[in-house]
Amino acid sequence: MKKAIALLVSLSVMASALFAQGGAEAAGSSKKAVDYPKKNITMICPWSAGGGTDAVLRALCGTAEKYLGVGITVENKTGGAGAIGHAAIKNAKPDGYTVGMITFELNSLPQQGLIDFTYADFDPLIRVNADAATLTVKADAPYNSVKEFVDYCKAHPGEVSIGNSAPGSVWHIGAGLLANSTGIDVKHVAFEGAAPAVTALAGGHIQAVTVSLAEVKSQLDAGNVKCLGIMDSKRPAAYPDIKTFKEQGYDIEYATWRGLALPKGVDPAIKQILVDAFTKAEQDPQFVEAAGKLNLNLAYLNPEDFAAFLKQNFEDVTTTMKALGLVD
Amino acid sequence: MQHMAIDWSLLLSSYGSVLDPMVVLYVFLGAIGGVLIGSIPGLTATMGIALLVPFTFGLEFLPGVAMLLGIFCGGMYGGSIAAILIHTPGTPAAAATVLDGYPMAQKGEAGRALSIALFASFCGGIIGALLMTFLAPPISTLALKFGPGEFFMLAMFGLSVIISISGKSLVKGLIMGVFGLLICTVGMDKSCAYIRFLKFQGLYDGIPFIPALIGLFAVSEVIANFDHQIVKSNVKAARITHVWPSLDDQKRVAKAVIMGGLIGAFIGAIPGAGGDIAAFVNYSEQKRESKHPELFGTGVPEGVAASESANNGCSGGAMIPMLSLGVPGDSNTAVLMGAFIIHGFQPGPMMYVEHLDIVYQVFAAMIVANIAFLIVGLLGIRLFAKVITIQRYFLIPCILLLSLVGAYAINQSMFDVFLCLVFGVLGYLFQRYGFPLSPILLALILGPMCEQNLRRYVQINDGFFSMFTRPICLIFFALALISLYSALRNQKLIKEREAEAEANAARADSDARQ
Amino acid sequence: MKKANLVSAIIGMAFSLICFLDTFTFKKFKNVPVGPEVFPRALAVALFICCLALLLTNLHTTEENKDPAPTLSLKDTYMRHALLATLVMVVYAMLWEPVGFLIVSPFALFALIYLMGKRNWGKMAVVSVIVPIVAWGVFRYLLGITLPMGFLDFLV
Repeated sequence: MKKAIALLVSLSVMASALFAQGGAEAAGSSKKAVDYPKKNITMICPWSAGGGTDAVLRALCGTAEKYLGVGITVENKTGGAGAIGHAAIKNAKPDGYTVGMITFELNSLPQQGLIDFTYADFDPLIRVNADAATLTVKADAPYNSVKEFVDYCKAHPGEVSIGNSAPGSVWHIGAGLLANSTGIDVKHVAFEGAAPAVTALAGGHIQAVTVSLAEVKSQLDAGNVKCLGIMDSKRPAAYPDIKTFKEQGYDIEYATWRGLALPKGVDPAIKQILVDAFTKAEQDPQFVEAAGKLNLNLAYLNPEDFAAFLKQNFEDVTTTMKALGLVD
Repeated sequence: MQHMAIDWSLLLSSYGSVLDPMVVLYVFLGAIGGVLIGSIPGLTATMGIALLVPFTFGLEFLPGVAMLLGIFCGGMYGGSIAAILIHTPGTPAAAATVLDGYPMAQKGEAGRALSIALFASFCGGIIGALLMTFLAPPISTLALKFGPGEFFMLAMFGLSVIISISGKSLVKGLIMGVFGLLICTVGMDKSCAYIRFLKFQGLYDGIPFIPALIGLFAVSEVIANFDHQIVKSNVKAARITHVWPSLDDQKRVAKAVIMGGLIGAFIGAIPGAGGDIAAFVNYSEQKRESKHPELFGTGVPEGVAASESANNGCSGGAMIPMLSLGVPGDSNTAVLMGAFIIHGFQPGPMMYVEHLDIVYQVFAAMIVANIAFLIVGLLGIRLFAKVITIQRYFLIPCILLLSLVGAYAINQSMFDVFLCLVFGVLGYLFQRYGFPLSPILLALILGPMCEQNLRRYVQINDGFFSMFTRPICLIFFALALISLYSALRNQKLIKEREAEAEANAARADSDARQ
Repeated sequence: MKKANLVSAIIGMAFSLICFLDTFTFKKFKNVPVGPEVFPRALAVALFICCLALLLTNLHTTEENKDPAPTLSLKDTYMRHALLATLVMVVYAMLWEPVGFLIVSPFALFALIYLMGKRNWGKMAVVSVIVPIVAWGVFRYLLGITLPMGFLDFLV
């Protein structure tokens, strides 16, 4: 009998405690209702260690650890041009302890049938950066503006080679966008990444590349290559001599982007904690400085704007890919 | 490209900064880690560097990079340990060391093989580091001249080496080589975004190289150990009398070592060509020029020295394009670049202009890294050689465990583990019926380079034959032909010598009977 | 080796034929001079030719038992061991994810050591348990790589 009473009492104590907790949550207020984070967070990077995406991510995570109070471990899950890493993020347990960096490829792989999910299967957090494509040619090339390059290509149809980082990659699509909008007939040559393509350009083996400023910076500074234009809305701060395509009469804007996302189904309260922490990290002077060293164009977007951007970007990219013949 | 005259005072002061106790400590830590990582099949120096690059975020630049260089150089040496003792290259670059290292161990000469590997690795590494210090600018100008056509010819030259590592049967070696090239085409076609043959997600990027390597060399050996009676440990615990090769041995391998350092450095300087290619090329060269080519493969010091000096020479060479062009010379430097970037230094042409002091410090650190792994190796050789004295009953299953863990560790993927097992069974069957394994390895390394560059070249230049008007292409093509010709001639020589030896034996037999 | 070579050659030829035929199912690309099917096709042909060469050189050679080939006969005890060991390895790998590395490894190691012929139960048990734990620890704490934990997920 005594045992039964003891059991009943403890059960009711527990029940009331639960209700009190629930009551506190309902009361809202500034109290952190969710006990998060309690342990280290895993950050998935679909690209290899030491690369551009990995460098940004590590710099951001290093700064964000301060605001979250726990460590963040970056896990590189590479392969399939980003497919494996993105799949890993999407399929992770939605407990808030696995976050991932998503990149442009999320919006170009589904159309090629390389992944069977899209941006809509993720819960976007923030956009980190957006780097516009440039048109870069060898320093001693006979053309000095986008128009001269376009004229040259029209005079020599099918002879000019534009290098890109992989078939169906962000820079291939960018080159295709350029070719379609200006009506030139060029060859798209794929390399094993942006760096080999830029090196091939510097060595004179191809005529142009349409990669981001960050990837041609060192050759540009050394004077081996020159940028004819950038597909952005404004001139780059570090290189105010590079005109935008718009200024030169071509209304083309195109960029790669990176952002953070969660798998679907994470508690909104946890999501908000992450958004706050990473937003602060992105604005943190330590990160801004690191990003500057990496030549990144920080382009923050909050979750709602980022989600809208993803949708628009996906549609734009699909249109371009269809025009390029990359997708039926 | 500016040709920098050597700034001697800066060079000397950079040594001063590198010989700081903190930096030296980190170099040694790196070297110890590198040798250990390199010696475990499944863990490669590339992985070690990749995993520790983020760790250097918290360190200052020089200690951090010095540690990574320690891992790099130590790892290139460490691979030879497993190659010699358990027939599995600890890193892909040690694949050619297996050819003569393992037979030497089986003859009871494990200690000798290990000491020669250490000696060759060190000398090769120093040669590479010196070349890097003094000849980086001109070499990097040359590296820029390598376009798709040149890479294709380089790959063809590398493939011609297959003939010399085919062992007894040329046809079987060719079959393995072509088979290797064929399976390279599985997966995503890098020029067209199309998945060929098998559509498994794990094969998107082609056959994962390390799991295949571990399967072919380690798991196949493990299986092979079950299919016959274990003869009660007749492997004498090779009493190591000295950890440094004898003067005789040193003289014997001198040529292989010096050539290895040079060849290794040059091949390393070519973006994308790494220690594994360098090792095989030098091995093939030494065999080609040797007076007794038939002995290669049976356990000769020259074979071990050739392979090890080249793969360490490659480390210095690979740093050249990484520093001066921002293009990695091999997979290790590709990851090493990340460390530079994290600290705000962008490798590339501007490094020499804006951060010459950093560049020189890296050169100095490289030399120190080589000395560090030398010391680690000298202290550790006795320990390493003891590994084979562990009873086979325990050793073999443990090797299997490590192999599967290693295969998993690269991408944390179970698919890789199963792939490893498949290749293990394949490797076992191949070896059993006399098909050599090294050609597959070479093909796996060179296949993608060969195909992609040929297609790229044809796409850019609308044709294939214009390649023969390019000087560098012609050079490699000629080298490939020479290599083929000598290898074929050597095969003939080997067969003649064998026939002779048999005839002598038969004569001695009949003499004895009379 | 003669019979073994002949069999290998035939297997090789069959394999190259299959690959060759499969290349015809590849998608055709328009603007590309050298498409994805070119290399595989050429290599399949080369493989076929090499295997044919192996076949022919072994057909008319009379060196009977110069190197008698090892057979895959199951009557041989040691062949059975090798087969069993391979089976153990496969099952072991398959159980990594559902059950967990730390739990399955001791059993697998024990089985393999037993198959190798050792009978010292005590030593075997100790090694079978210690080695996986050490390996797991090194990879987890030094290299940051977690092996599949299966039932022991909470330890991560």
